[in-house]
Amino acid sequence: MIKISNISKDYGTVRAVNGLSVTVADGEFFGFLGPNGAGKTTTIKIIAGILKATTGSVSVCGRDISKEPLAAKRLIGYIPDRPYLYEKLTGREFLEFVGKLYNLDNAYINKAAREYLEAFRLYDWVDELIESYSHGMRQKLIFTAALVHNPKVIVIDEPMVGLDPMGVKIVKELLKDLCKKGVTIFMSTHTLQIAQELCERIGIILNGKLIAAGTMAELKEQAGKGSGKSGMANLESIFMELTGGEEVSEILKVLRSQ
Amino acid sequence: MVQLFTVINLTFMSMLLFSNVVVSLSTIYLSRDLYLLLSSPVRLTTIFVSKFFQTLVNSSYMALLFGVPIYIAYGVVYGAGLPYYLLTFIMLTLFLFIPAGAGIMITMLLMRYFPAKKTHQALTFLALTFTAGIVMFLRLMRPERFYQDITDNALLAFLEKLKTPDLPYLPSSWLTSSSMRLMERDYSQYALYLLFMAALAAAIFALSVWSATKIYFMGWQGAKETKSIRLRPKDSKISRFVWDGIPFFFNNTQKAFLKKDIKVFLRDSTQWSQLFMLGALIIIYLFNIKSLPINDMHLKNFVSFLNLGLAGFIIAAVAIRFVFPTTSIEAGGFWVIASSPVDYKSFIIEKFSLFLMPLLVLAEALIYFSNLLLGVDTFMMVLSVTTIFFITIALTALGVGMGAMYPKFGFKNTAEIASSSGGVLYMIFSLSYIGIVIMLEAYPVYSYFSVKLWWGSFDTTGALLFFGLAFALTIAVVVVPIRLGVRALQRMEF
Repeated sequence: MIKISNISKDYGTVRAVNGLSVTVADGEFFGFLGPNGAGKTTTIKIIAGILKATTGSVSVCGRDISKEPLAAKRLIGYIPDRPYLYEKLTGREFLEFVGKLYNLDNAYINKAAREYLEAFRLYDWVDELIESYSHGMRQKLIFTAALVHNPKVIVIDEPMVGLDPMGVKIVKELLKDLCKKGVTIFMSTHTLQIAQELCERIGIILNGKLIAAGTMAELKEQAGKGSGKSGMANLESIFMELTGGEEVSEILKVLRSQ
Repeated sequence: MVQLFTVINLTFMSMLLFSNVVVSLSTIYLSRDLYLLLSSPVRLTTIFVSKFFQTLVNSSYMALLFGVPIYIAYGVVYGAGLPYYLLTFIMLTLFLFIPAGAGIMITMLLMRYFPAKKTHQALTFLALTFTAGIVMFLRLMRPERFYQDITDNALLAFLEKLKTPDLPYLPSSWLTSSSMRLMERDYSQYALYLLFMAALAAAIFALSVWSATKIYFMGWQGAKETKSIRLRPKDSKISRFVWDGIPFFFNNTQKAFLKKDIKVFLRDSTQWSQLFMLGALIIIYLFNIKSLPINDMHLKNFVSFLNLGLAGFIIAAVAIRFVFPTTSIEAGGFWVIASSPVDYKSFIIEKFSLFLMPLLVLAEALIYFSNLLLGVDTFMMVLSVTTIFFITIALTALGVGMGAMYPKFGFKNTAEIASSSGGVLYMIFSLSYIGIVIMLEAYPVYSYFSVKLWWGSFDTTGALLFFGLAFALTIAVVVVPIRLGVRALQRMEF
């Protein structure tokens, strides 16, 4: 379970996250949406323990990330959006390095990693230096590294960046499967279709504030109330409605008329 | 004078050629703006020409900065008129096109057939080895002899060693000859050399642009592709035993860091090739000690004591290059550590242990062999070997701790980390610490020399007090930076 209680994050005079509260239940798949610069990555980094909230608290399976960071991090698998990796290590060496940070032994790491790497069709490259991996291959390696220690909670920032269609399908199936097994997933994405397909509940963040959260039906209702419209069929129209889509429509009209 | 200018210009030309090869690799092949430029509707030759000039300026300004004063000095001494300065400047500018064009063409050929990163690493390695060789060569020629009895014969013999063959067809020789002709106000001869230089510069520039139309794009594209999979062998049972067994005093996390750090260091030729510079430094250091004209036993012991400060400085200089950047070089990869259940104390202790052993070997070797060459007595040998042991521990801890307190993650090359404000602060603290330790130990050493030279008894209480103070300071320099480093990492955000 992830419990985010009234967190705010300031960068100097800029408030990136403003009084955000969300609770994600055990085994729940929670999607986190918002336009660029809304505060998604900042929130995710706070949950993963690599940023500290200015105020408020985050707990993972009952462990407060700022008071018991090591215990909380042991339960989390974090997948950043554009990760830097150690270029001079091979994929296997990187996985062994990360696994050992979680106190796992090599035999276990290699066995667990092999399953994921084979699923991602990356196993043939495991003894190659990471410097020769493509962006998609790196993303698959990060997924493997985040899952090797069997986390209870997975925090993902833009999971599909750089993945080919096959990779996207594998990741979707993998995440669904993990969720069924009771793993809690907190995923930020710009791909609304994927969020609609995978997530049980979705939260929408705008200017650091959570402006809506709930199931698809609940979001439709919330968006409808705000605009007076009804019958929004998909997440895209709900998202546009809630995050200022009318302005976008106006801009598009002007552009088309030129 | 002709001989001297020939040597200088030839050296300039070779340095410029090499520098252009290295710089053009970055500007013409590895620069990130090329993605934008090459995808824009701009002709390839236009992009190449702009990159040609960027390379020329980047790689030549330093040579100009050092070269121009030599020509100005020559003009001032021999009372040259304004035309000398103007015409030499024109000649020098044209001259720069030749190594630039040649260097860029060499790069284009290399890139057509070899991967970019490997070429860059190989060239960096060659540059470092070349520099280490030059430094050693100059030192081992013992130029200090000229401070003693300079005779015409000695000077001639020295110049003889520098003598270069007469190479009239090299542009560097045209540069020399044109300056000489200008000084004699022989403008028709100068014009001839100017014509040669301009023609060659234009030809090389045209040839490099033409070559670019043929092989540049293919080479740039090839630099982005991995041609084949080169699998590295898995760790064998023996290597696993070595990695997991030998550092038994580390916990699992620290072993993982140790293995990662050593592998990354050994696979990065820009990192390990610096050990050649270090090797040259040690040889020169010991050579200097050996060359000291000291025969008196007490003076030798005194020099040995002062040598502690010098050896400490060397350790600080090595530490700022290798130890201080240790947190910074994790760079973008720090998210892996920050998001893992890693105790930052473990991280810092591993980094400290990683560097301590090689630095101790270096420091003890410097002191032991210096003392051996000086022929000091047992007291000084024991004192200096023990003191440098503690100094090295302190400087390593200070480097690791301050490196964590003042990291510089956004660096382009690792040399920037050492020259950051944190790096400068590290050097100030290191040198202050070394100075204080030397001052504190001066009293026991003075007491010892007093007994040996004059009379009286060794002041044991006073000596113990000062040694105790030096020891206490060392403990503080180990503990405080490490604690502050751990705290800084705990507060850090990524």
